[in-house]
Amino acid sequence: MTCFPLPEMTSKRRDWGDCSATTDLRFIAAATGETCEASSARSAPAVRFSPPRCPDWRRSPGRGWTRGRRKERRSRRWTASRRWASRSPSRGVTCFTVTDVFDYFRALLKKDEKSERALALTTEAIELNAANYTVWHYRRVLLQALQKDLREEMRYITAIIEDQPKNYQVWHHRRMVVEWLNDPSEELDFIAEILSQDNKNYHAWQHRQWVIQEYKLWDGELDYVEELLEEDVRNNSAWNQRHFVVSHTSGYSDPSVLEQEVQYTLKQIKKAPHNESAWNYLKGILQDRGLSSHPGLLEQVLELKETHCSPYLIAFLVDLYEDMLESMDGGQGQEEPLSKALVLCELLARETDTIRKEYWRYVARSLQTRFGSGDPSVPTVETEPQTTPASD
Amino acid sequence: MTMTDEEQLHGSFVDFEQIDFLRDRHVKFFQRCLQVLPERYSSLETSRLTIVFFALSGLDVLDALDVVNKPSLTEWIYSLQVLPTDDQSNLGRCGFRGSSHIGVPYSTKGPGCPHPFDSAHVAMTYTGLASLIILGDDLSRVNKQACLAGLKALQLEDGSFYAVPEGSENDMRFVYCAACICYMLNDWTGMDVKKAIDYIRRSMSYDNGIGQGAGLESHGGSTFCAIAALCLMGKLEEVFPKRELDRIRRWCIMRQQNGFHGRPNKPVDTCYSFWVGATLELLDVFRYTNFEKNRNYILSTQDRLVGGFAKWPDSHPDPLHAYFGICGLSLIGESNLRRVHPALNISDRALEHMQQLHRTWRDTCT
Repeated sequence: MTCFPLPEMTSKRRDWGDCSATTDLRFIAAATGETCEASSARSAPAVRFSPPRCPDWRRSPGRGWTRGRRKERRSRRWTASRRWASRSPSRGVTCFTVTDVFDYFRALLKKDEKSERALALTTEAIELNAANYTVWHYRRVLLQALQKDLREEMRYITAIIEDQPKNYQVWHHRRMVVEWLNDPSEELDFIAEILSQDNKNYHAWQHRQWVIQEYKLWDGELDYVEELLEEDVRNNSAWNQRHFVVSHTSGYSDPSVLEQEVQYTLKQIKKAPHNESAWNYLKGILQDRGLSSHPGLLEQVLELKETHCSPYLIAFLVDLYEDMLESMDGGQGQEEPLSKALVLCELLARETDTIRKEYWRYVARSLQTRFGSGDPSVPTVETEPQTTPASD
Repeated sequence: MTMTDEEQLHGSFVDFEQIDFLRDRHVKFFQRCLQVLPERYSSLETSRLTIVFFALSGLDVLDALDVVNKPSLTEWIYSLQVLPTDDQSNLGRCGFRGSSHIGVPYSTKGPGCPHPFDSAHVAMTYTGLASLIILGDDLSRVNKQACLAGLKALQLEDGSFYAVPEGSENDMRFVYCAACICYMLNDWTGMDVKKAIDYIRRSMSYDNGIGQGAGLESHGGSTFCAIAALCLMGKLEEVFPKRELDRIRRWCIMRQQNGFHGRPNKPVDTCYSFWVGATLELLDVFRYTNFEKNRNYILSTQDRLVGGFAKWPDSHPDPLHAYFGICGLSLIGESNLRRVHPALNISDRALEHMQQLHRTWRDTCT
């Protein structure tokens, strides 16, 4: 194996050594017969990095993995990307452009080199582009080959995710490290911290569901969900998590659980009537058993209609009447629920949910077709569906 | 003319300017995307081919593909194909790369160059094939069997797909990419369809939208991916009976606020005018949405200076939102825009070319 001469990295500064080593470094990248520069020239579009405007080779890490604060985030990444090659014979301190880092990375990747310097390079490359999944994969290969301290890696990935919580690769990496350690003990707290910054972050919720399901950490999760719903009853992600927890623990088949959930949801609706998430939850947990079969529900909703009305409540009633009609199965007494449903559809179209007026009229027509008897005394909705838009 | 009339006239001119579609700006925006991307897009390096797709398909929908150097782009896309090596040991890694970021020597033909980390990415294979079709290529240089082998290697037991053979996250996005690949290559041996539709079924949420996976929050993007994938497979009505389709229709149509959002109680975003709009079109109820409010929202996110669209008004445009903003307008029948196939997400013109190719393949088959 050819050993390339390489400047040692000091722990304090990212000092890549004197300029002769720098020249060696450039030679290294070319030595592997890489024609990536040629291919970059031919490729379209190019991602060309704007020429750096000022030398700024001060770097903050070296203190260990610090959690990136939001304020610092932009300047630290700016610093990283604006670094440039400064070949100063007198000072001998050099830094590298983005292209350098990745040229070097490509050279090591081709060799499949397994070394500390390779691992250090992945850190540099990640800081420049944390979305490069090849760098992350190579890093994982190195972590295993070099038997690195995975607790240290957890600290690292924690900082990276704090800085870039909407990146797919960082969450996948964390999942891999947790799996290798077989230790989820930090996860729920960490995810809660990320969710405290954005309580609808889909990556965070996905990771949370994976951890809970994989390691059976159901205890306390319902309490956590309720905390979040206290903070923001309109958090759709929290409602989803509620369903996730209940369906995997007690389930909804137990009538006392179901009733408890129904009452909880109605309580939240009273606090904030105009909340699609709560209504979706209520409908969701009852629809497969039949909305009209749940005793007392119709009455409770009709009561709510007087003081806590919303388009979602009216739509819920339409669905409830539809369920009633379905369970009557063509028998007697369909006229009344049908007529009620049609009146509510028209209310939605004309008043409470006008943006969807064409849809509600379509729903009314469908109900009429399915359950109507052709009796002229039953109100029908006579409107044409929307045709071409006005923009022509 | 009275002052009132003048004011009224001036007012309506101003209104018109604010909401007119600046076709030429968008053409220039996409042209620039095909040349150089500014440094702030460096995180898209490994997915540059998707940016090319947004620009090409965007120009196609704008009927402006004449500004593109088709032969040169075609060569570049073929240079991203991961081809089988001499010993065929890398078949599970074949397909298309997102860019030259690995540094494999430039080549538009086989055999493939052995490299320990060179492999395809499912979204790049999808956008690569789609881009070639848009450019009018006949896919004769695509190693279809290798692409399908590469795709098969990505499917998990639960029916979903990884993005790359080395492993990655797995979710509905890649199920959609896989379905598009099979549809464009006219060959469903690249996936276990039964497992895929099972994954889709299990991803339907209690609220009747579809999440990225079982138990996950329903979302406009994953709902599109699921429904579009089923439509491409021709399995929509087999998987979801009418009652369930009606429930999905309701979830989707509730996403309209003025424009569309992706989840209940979240802000609207231009790209959902396509993700949710196209889903509603596939479910045959898009015509019941409010076209005017949708159009007004999309155009409020138009960047009048630079071209393109952003997710929100007064925000920076980007290729993804530019493309999906235009597709969203195409769905409502905006004039001078080609129609977009709501499942495959390419223009009707490109689709016709693909269908012609399929006919040719069938005719040359013994």
